[in-house]
Amino acid sequence: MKPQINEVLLNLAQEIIYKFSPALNNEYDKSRLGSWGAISLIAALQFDNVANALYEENRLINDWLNDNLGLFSDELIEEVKQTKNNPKDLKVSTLDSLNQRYRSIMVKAHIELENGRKVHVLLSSINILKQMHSNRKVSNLLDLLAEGTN
Amino acid sequence: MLEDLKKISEDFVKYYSNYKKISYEISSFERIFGGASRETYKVELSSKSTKEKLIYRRTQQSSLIETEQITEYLAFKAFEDSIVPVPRIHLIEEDEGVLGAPFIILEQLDGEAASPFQEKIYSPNEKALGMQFWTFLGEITKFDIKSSNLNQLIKHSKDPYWKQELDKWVKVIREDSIGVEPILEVGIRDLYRTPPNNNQEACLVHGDYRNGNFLFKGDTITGILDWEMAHIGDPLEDLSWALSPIWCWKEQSRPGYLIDRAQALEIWKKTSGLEIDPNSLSWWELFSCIKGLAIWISAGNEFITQKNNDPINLFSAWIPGDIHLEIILEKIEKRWKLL
Repeated sequence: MKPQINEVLLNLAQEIIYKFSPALNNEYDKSRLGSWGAISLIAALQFDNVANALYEENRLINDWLNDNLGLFSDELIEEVKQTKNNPKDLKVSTLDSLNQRYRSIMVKAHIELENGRKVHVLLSSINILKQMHSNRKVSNLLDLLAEGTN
Repeated sequence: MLEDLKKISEDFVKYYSNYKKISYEISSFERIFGGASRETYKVELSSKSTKEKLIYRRTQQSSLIETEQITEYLAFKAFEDSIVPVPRIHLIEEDEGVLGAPFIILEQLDGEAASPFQEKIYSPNEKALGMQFWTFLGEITKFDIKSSNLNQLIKHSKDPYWKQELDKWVKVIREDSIGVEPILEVGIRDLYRTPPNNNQEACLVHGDYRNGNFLFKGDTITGILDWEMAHIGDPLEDLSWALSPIWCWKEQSRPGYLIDRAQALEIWKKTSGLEIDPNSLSWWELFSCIKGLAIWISAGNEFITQKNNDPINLFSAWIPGDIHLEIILEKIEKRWKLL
């Protein structure tokens, strides 16, 4: 079995950060290359979970919308019904395209719920927003930024 | 890259020698990493009789925040010889035909600038630096804009300052977003729904007043930098930006990794002579997240469209953008309960 892409990226990041960047004399180029190394490291760490995170996020939004369908306008109900959570494949681009559509519908749903002061339904979406954020979260890698912008 | 640097340095020394009527040679010419709206170079020149250390700031061909050099020039001029330390400005050139981009040339001050994400960087001088940091912000807030050249920055609009600023940054978000972000949208709607009090007199707003945008040497702040986003606006705008948890993510009770929040607010109130309405401050703190996200989204757009593939742009979109979303997310629950 050949090495996975995320493992390759991890090695690339280490080479850049520890070998090639320190070898440069120009401070600007050194910082810039070091940043590329840190970015490669983040990409390596994120790569494995991207498709799964999008798939789960789409499922959560779809379920939440359908659970509260009776609260939405006819126009929004129609949009929810027309959006099927059955992607034709599991490519990241396919899942992301569907995710953008779900996110857009979620924004419209939030607006209608805010206008109707349906606070408990709004609050029931907090966990999805937290999940959504957690899936893409990289702030735990803040130390890399401190290094990268140094 | 090296070819570019060589050409830029040669053009610069030729221009500056001609300007000063002195024949200079370059001792060193280095680009400073970071900063997405200006290319900044540290320059050392020498002639037979003199040496000069300068900062050369050029407008980037592609920059996140479209700002004019004159704004920074006016701000530096206004605070020359004041209690707020700023580098002396030598000249401004707004004609991009002269050296390929508008620029300013400044005195190079002693001191270092830190990354705003390094929590221990000011140790052991956090207290002394913190006292100065918040005092200088109070001084900027109370600066008499009407009797200085800064009055050129006053815009006449029927909209209150909070709305002018919010509209401006939401427009950036609408133009540059590459995806839908429901958390951000909740924050934007909340700000339009619950405006702050608008009873404070307008003041100069630095626009990016935070740790990382000042020079320090030991226990002394030697220069307040990066005034390119300066404008006239609400006194709480700079305050809330400087207080933002993003600049002290690992120790959020100590804004800018300097001194405690309560102490910071007391110093600012005492220096500026202003009181703080808690609801308005809360509004401006949420606004800071939206403004931040507009900047980080814009950075991501610059990167993805290849207008500027500096990795600082990708970092900005990924990490600070992520932090500001998290701050909004923490506020959403409370805000929705107030509906």
